[in-house]
Amino acid sequence: MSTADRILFWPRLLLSALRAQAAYRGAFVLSIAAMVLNDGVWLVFWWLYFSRFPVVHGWRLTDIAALWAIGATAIGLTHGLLGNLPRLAQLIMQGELDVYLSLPKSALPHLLLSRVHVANLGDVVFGPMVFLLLLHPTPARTGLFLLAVLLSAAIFFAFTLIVHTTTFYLGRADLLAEQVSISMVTFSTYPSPIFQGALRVLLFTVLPAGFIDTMPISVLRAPDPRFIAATAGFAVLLNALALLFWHRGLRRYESGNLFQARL
Amino acid sequence: MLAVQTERLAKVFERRKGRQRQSHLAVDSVDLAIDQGEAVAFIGPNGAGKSTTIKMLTGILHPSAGSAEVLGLVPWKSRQRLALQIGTVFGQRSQLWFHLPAGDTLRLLAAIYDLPGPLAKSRTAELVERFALQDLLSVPVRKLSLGQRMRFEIAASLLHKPKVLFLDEPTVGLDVIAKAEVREVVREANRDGATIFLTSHDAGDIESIARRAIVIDRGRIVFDDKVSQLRRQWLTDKVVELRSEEEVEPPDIPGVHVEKVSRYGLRLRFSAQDLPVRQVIGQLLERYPVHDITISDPPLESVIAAIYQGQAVPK
Amino acid sequence: MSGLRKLLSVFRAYFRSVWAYPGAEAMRTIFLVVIMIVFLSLWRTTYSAMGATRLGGLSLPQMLEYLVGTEAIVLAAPAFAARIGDDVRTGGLSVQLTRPVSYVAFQFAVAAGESWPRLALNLLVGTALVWLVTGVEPLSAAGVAAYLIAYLPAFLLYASLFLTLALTSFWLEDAWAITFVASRMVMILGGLLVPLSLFPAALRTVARILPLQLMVYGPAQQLSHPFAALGTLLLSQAIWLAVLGGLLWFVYARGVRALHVHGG
Repeated sequence: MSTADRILFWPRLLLSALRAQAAYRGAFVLSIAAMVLNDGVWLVFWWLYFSRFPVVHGWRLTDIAALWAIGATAIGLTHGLLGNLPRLAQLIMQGELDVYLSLPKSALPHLLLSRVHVANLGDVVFGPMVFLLLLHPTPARTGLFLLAVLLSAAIFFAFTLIVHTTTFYLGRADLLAEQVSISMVTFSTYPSPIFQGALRVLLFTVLPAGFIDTMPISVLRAPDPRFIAATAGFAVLLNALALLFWHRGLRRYESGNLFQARL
Repeated sequence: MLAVQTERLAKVFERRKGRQRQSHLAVDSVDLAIDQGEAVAFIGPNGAGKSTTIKMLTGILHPSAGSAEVLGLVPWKSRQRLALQIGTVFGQRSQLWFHLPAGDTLRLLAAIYDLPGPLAKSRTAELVERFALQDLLSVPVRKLSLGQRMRFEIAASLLHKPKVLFLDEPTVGLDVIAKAEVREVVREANRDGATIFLTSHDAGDIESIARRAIVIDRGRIVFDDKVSQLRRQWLTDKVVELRSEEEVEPPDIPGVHVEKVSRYGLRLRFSAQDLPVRQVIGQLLERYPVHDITISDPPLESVIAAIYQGQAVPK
Repeated sequence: MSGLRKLLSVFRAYFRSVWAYPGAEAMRTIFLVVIMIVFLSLWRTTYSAMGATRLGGLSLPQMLEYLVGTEAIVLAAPAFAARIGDDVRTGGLSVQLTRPVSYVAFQFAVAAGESWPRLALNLLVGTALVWLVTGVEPLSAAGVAAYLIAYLPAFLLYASLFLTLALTSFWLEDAWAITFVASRMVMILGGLLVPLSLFPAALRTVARILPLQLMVYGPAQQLSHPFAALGTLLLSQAIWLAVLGGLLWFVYARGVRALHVHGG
């Protein structure tokens, strides 16, 4: 088998994962629509908010829309297309890695691309839609938007992976992983200047939502090379850490043994 | 090069319970040496370490101590390279895609095993024919019966002509016909040269597939010999079947268990360790006008049952 | 055993199961703490940017306490769609339906058993957080009493609506989407994120006509304005309870018939 075939295997795998979910056409379409609507409701909330209080630390409604466009796309890519990522803790606990570990492909990409999470696919629809309809997509701005999405997705990916691989070390960590992931996503949807003091430090370190909250201003509205470089550096570092956690964790994988006890 | 070779292979699971650390020794110290082309049954009571051993041999688990080589490769270090040469069937876990048509999932697995297009096609066609899967290719896996699914599982595990086939309870939950089919296919793979490493609760699987049996108990190997020896050595019970020329009443000999009584026939069972065979047979010959008598070892089924009930040390 | 006693024992069993895993319950409050920190940051900024001490008639601590009140209800809300979806998929539903206790009443008992202790925990954790951060003791005994009085019918309303939606899984493959959309409607029109008093006039009128605000905004409002218009609130809740209860009964009867036609 040629190298090209080997590379093409991965998109092919993702396509199969999409087809597997699309087999339930009604639920597929409905779930995507529901998530688009959900994201829309949040924009309505912010519209309500800004109709009453026009400016928060220089943020306007369009900045919030940009935050949602970037954040939703990034979440959709990492939690939607890589549908096994947000349930990785569960897979580890229940010994579901066995199948991937007994097949001759790199286990992490294999398991990540084997399932799509339909609801979050709605985010991949919503994000670009908002950008195209509301945020004046010139070629230059489109490039910046894609850059912001890429950086955000890289941070979301590594963070989620780290949180879930704690299962290798802690045992039952699915509920913890879920709550911490939701917290990260939640913090990622508010304007960064409202978070001050120790919280701000937290959001640029252990719970790195602050980077995402800053994208609309420092990447899209007034691109700041220093911020972009720092974020890229952080994303690379975080991903290296995540992969290290994963590979070291695999050594401790127990294949479902002894995971019966609850916390 | 051996198919499987281990030395003092061990696995400890650590668990924190509150503040205390508990460790559980799942595999204590296992030495195995299996030649290529052998067919081995790996048996033992639940929790004895069978699955843990298999998972270490396939590279799923990292061992706590000891060494292992499968086809000359260290499984947990060369996991992917090894996976190209071995096949696995875990009766409880599917490698098929639940929502996709079974044929698509075979094609996807052919790609996973890096089979080039033409080879993938010919190999799939061959297996489809041998397993009589033609009519099921477009059915989503979730709609297959357990037996049909298992045929696909085994076909999938043979796509790449593995040199070693690990089977963990491959016939669990299948009906008689499906079981026979699975056994036939595994035997055939063995005839083609594949080494078979099988765990099963089913004496029929063991009898029809394996020639060698390895029994593991509490993480240690306690028996390693021919299946026929297992039958002879494990239980010292003897079964006596007797036909009389006159109608029979069951005997009342202490230590002799009456298994079955018919008008002219008896089936008795006793432990040759507690009662000398000579003594029991003498008493029977004295008491009944014997037309015919046979003495045999207990069926493999009772041996396996005894092993799985934890009576895992030969008498 | 009488029907009520059976339901009471179901309630007790689920009530206890919540306390059986204190670690898991504590974990659930992580999100409440996070969302309250977010709200605290947002509203502190807003009050100071507007230079106001009161917005929509609420001081900052009152606003935060209001949000504790709404989030406590919604985060403790029963997850009918997942449970009933499982019942339908696994075929457990036909077993449930043959039990000598009403399926709907059983679901209510389960929901109450799980939701009520979680509500108490959420209220406690949220209030402690607000108190810690603002330094203002936000709760009055009267406020809590009025909140709890209004919560009971609010819970029944919420449960009726979401149980009705979950029952659509008798027909659909999955009721997740429809339930999710409804919960977003509660979020915006029920006043989960912003009290109705801060809505633009037109939207406020729409929200007032709908029953969603009776499930969330109504009780939470009582925390800062104890017993203010409580009678009117309870009356509206009672009227809507009759409407949504009737709808639930209708959908359930239809659903059971649909199941009998093409099997469970």
